Amino acid sequence: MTDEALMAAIQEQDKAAFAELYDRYADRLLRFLQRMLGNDHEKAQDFLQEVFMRVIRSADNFKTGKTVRPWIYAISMNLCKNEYRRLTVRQNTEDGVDIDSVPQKANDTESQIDMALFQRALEAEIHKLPAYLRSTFLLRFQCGMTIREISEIMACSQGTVKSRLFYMTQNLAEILKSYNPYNVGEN
Amino acid sequence: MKKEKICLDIQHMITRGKIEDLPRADLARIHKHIETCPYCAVYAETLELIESLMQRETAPEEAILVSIKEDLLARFDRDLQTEHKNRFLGWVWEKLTWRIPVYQAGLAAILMIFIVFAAIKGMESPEKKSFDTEVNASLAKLDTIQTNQMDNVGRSSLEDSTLIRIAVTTIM
Repeated sequence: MTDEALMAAIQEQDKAAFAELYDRYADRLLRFLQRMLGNDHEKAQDFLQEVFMRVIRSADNFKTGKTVRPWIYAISMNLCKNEYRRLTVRQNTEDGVDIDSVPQKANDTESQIDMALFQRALEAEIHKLPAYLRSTFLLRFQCGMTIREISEIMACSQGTVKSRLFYMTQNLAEILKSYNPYNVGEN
Repeated sequence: MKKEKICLDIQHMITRGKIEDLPRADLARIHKHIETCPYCAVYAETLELIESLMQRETAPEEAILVSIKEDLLARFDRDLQTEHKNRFLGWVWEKLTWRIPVYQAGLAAILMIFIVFAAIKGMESPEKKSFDTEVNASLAKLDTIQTNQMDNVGRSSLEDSTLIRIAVTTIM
């Protein structure tokens, strides 16, 4: 059953369809929200709940022929935008990275520490980005969305999305290559 | 080491490759260059790391997701009921609101009639007012006379005339 069919069922007040849609998106959305909110886990959980409450409330507004994924992420984005307006979340950046959760690409301890540093630097750089750039970056590299989907969520042209992504990716690579555990030491 | 122009081009291509599909020729060019250029190799490796770190994350605790789900499902029915109620009230309001100008116009018309009527009454001439007073006084006098007659004779002059009329009709 497609997401769109589930939405049609939710419009008919099908509780099971709602549960199924939640199972499909909750995990991904929670991760996305955590990053968008400066790794504030509790707030991300509250936001996740609010996103799905809005899905229930505005199910009737979902138009047939549209895709569910950009719609749900657009709801999440709007919530985050409102939150940014209310307060700055950058304060959480410092203690936002859990070293234990760092993926272990290298085997030895030294490499793990380097990787942890790399991830910490990456998280810090992501949170330095303005909200619209951060969300574009996360939608692409964390959620794996297409350029078209991102442009739909962000309500801008595909060309704008591409140029934003190019600018951010290039910047991040430049900044973070000094943290790269495999760096050969460019001057 | 100062970046060569070719390195800038290659890094530009590597970045572009993370956003959209590159032609095979460009990919081959990148691979060929990276084999001999450690700086561009690090650049490419850094982007790979960023990409993999963004995707490989610890999954949120299952218990949290389940708890949120239960809460949402509990609110599902309740919220839909509220939604329906609100929609009904919204429908009623929608039906009424388009008539608001009509109601306003009606009220305004009634108010205008009342004002005009009061104004007309207030604008009556003093001559008419004094005439009305005189007539009322005369009528009151007549009433008094009639009452006095009834007290004296036991019937009014009107009754007298009626009796006379009956007697005359019978005789004739």
